[in-house]
Amino acid sequence: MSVRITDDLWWINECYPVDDRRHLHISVFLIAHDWSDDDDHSDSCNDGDLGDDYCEKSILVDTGSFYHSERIRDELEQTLGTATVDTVFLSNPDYVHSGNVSLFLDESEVICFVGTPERHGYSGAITADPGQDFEVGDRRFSFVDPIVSDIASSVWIYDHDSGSLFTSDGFGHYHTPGECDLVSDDFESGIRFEAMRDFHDDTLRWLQYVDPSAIERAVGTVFDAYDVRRILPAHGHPIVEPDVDAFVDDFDRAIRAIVDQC
Amino acid sequence: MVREIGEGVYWIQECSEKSVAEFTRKNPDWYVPGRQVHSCRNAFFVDGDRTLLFETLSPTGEDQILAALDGLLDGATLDYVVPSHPENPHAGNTLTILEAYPEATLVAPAYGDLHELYHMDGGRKVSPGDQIDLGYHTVRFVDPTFVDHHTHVWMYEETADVLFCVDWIGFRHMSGECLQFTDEMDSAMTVERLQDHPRSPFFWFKFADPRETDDAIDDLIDAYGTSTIAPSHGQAIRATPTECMGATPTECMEMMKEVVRVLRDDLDVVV
Repeated sequence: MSVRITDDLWWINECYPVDDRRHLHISVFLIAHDWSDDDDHSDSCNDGDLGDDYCEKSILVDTGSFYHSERIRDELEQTLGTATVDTVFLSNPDYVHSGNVSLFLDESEVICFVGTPERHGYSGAITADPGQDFEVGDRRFSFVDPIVSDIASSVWIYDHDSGSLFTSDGFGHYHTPGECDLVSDDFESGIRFEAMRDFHDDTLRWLQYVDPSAIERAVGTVFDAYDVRRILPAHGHPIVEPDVDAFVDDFDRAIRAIVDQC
Repeated sequence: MVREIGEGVYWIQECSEKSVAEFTRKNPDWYVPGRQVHSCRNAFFVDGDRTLLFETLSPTGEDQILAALDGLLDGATLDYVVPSHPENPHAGNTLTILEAYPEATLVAPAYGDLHELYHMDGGRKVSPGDQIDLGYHTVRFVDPTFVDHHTHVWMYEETADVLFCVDWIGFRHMSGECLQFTDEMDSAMTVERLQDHPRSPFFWFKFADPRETDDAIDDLIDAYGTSTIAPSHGQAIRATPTECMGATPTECMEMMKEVVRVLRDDLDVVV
């Protein structure tokens, strides 16, 4: 299922049933012009017959799991038509983030954040580091240290155009069947605190060794540096304005609750 | 490249070169200027009535791991394949190996809920305390104290007394030191040497509470301080170093306490 977040930002939100009561999003984000009613122009953009001003670049953040490969391809085709994805950002090399990268290695510029992409099977990928900026067309992205992550070689990505912070494993949370397509402001009382706490407790096994105030300060550093209007985790609902501040407060509480119980 | 590190326990090492210029510029205290530096991925083969491979090297090591297995098995069956966690430098050749040895059982960490998404849903799941009897050897799966990725397992072999600690105690070595125990290397084990590799899998050291990590490391020292330590990204550390340069497993683990402190003070948040 594809949920439109802004005019040119889609949330392709596949789910996985963790158990009878809980699902986990395995999300992919697409930034692109909507070609769904305009197949002729998507062909023309593909062939380079139309100029760059019209043919905005399309960017994928993560590629999801092989488990959802067919559905992700269908969603991309619905939006992009025959246009190809220009750039793929991999927020981390975990198979549920990079599971379909092979679909894009030939046609797209793949940017990932590992020291040696070949050792992860991504020959031809470009490496980038937190602290770097990257422009795709006229759209600027900044790569940020992932404050919380489940795996090495991860990155958070800030899209200056939409004010969206793609947080990979960070800020993830479970949801119940029936909530799959909701964004944060669809919830009357916000994202459930327990859903976020349990996800981080289950996933970030290293939290038992940390000082929660250090994580809180680090999150503050990121949110001071960037005007974050949306938080887009790979494993949770999009957090949209005006829910961002309260959600971050809940995240800080969740981390503290997890550390205190250890 | 294969070496026996304990009776019937073999070390398979895949090396790749790092930038000499980078290390010449940084000039860490263990480095001999001008020498090539290697990072490595290790896999370990346990031979016996039943055979087991722990870790599978990275995708670039596919030919190497298949050749090593061919040589080590010499026509025997491969019974178990155990990737420590679903990340390519460790599990990158799991499917290839299972195709080459279809009689082998995939053994995966039980922790987590997404095995199906990691091609880890078939085979056997193991939790800390579970054992596999290989005949002469017995492997026991232990709680992975320091993990990269939540679906993760460490392994201990009881007969040869070897702890396979995956990303823990990873470090670079120089050309000429491949497949050497730490006490055979030309260069010393130092805190500075041990702090390079953890910056990636243990990025969270910047948030660490050293009291907690010290306690965890003390538990590891109590349990495995006199064992051979076999990390997946470093040279094996034997319990009784034969050379003066060698640090014991306990000494290396004590140094890791200082590594946590150094990285906690050193790793800024990059925005």
